[in-house]
Amino acid sequence: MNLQSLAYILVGTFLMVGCFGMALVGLPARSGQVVPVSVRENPASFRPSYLLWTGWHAPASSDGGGFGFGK
Amino acid sequence: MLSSSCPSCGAPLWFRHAAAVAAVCENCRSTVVRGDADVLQVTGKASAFPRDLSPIVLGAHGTFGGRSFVVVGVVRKARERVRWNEWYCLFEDGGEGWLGEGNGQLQVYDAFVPVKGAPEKLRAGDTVKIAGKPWQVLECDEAVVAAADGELPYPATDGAPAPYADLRRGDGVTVATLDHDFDPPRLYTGKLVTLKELRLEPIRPISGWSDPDLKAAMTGPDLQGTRSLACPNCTAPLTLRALDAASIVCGHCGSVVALQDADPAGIIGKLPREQVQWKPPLPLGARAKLRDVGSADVIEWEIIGAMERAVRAGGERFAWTEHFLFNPYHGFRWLALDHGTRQWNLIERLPDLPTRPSLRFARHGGHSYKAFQQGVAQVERVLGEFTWEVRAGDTAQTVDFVDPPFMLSVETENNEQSASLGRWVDPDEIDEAFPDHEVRAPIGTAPNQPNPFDQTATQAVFAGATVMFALATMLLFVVQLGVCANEPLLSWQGPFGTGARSSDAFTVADTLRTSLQVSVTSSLSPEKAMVHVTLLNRTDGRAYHVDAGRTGGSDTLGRVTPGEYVAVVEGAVSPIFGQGVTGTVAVRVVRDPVRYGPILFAFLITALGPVWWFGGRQVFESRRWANSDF
Repeated sequence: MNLQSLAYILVGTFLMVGCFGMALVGLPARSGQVVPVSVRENPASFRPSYLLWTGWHAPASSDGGGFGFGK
Repeated sequence: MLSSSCPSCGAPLWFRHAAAVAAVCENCRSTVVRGDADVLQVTGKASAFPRDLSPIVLGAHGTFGGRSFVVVGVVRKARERVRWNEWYCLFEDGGEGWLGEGNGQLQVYDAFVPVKGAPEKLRAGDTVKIAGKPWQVLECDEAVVAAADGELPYPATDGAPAPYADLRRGDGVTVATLDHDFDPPRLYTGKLVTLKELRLEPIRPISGWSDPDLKAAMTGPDLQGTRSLACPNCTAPLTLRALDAASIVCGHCGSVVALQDADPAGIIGKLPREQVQWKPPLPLGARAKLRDVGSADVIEWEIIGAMERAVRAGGERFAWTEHFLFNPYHGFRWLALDHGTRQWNLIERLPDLPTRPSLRFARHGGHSYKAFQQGVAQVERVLGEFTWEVRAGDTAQTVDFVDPPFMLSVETENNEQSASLGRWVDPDEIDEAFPDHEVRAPIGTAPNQPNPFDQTATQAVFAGATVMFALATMLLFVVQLGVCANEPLLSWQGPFGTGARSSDAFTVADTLRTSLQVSVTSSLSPEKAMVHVTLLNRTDGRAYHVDAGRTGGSDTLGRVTPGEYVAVVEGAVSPIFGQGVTGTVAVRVVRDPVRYGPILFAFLITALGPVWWFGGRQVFESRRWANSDF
């Protein structure tokens, strides 16, 4: 028997178990970012683009805090 | 039965069989012919048949094609230094035939037809039609009677010319001979056989040899398996292992000694000193059991000779050693070692020639072979004994065809063609067969080495694993359908705008399966606008960015925290092309969806099996054919 056939069984079984694991257990949890209470209460004040590009920053002077460029 | 006395010496003489026309007197060696009215007449003398050269004896009974026969006479014929025996057989149903014995092969000719106007001269290699059927001409020559014994269908006397033509069908089995000893000539037809198939009894045992299939039939005094000779040049002792050998090389002085009926018959050549000192990879006299070329029979062979041959091409020398093997009950074989790849072949001489439908193909015995290599092979070194007069420097044009694990070789030497069939021998088989000798591991691919991916076990494993993985893929799909909640949580649609909008709230329950599939669709052009979506958990404040492309797509979020969620949708437009962009954006959220990614991946694993098998097979074939001349 060719060793490569055994390799196919071993590698294939290993990957197939991974497929079952991924399907049944699911993807790893995403942590996300925690936003302040003000945003929770007024979601429309949230800027998803900021979350994508930069992230949350604390309020500074007049902008009231939030997500912004150049953190 | 006719009982009488020899007209020459008066010794008792019998004609036991009505079909016998002549008998050889055991006392005075006269050949006596029975004429009309049983009048006996001496036609000449015949030398005594050398009874120590063959295990077959007069009076032996055998079976062929369901018909019993008895061996009643024998004629030994000779041509140049080639000798063979023709045993005259009478069948119980009144038929007659011949059992040919020579060069390690047996043929039974059990039927004949008289052929009026049969051609006397045929050319070897031609195909001719005789008695309505096509035949290959293997050999056409004139032999002479060298000895005779017993009862015969014609008077055989020493030196009597015996023109003949050996014919073959080309199927590896069917044989014929055109015998001009009769008027009109007879076309005898028959088949290649083995002693085992003939069930001959009795046969002579040969000292030093045994065969489990023939043991029961062995009676009488042992034939000497070997014979001690003295070199006619230097008087060094020579051991003759095959009594049918035509030449033997003295390992002491390098003289090539011609043999005739196992006796020295002169010196026909001399090897240079450096060749005398040559030691083949396996020594002469070594014995080993090997599976035969065309059958599963495991036969014990003894190495009785060896020669090194080489082909030169493109400034390179490709050499191999051929060990000449012998078994007195099974004939001769070759065990060849290729020096370049260290691969082994067990080779059997074929009784006929293959057909050549084209230059690149040959057919024989129902198999088709592809041309692989060709060249002019030269004998460079030689040692031991052979059934022909071998000389260093002999050349032959060779063409090899392959159909793994077999290699069909056609050699042309002095306008005579011969063919042989080789079987690739696994190095482990050689290791096992010659445990006392170092067998070096192969370093290359043999032309007729079986592709490991074509082995039944390998194919079974690849096929079995592929089926198993296919079933697992289906199971994965079914299990997901059963286990996944696939619960729609949100289906929201709103107008596109550059500000942020939040959707209706939805709840992700506190369960183990909280992955979310978020699908975003819009009617927007990616060049003009962009949509950002975030799922916001209002309960714990976690925001999850959805990576769904510029204006639409899908993203699956791994397990998210439970709580009350909203989708926040924000639009952005290109400062150049985005003026006045309008449209709608829709967001759909499904909890614990059926995941097609793992199913697709499992399908790829399944498909990998056939791809791997095919690719591996092709790589091996590429390596094999990289060395081909065709």
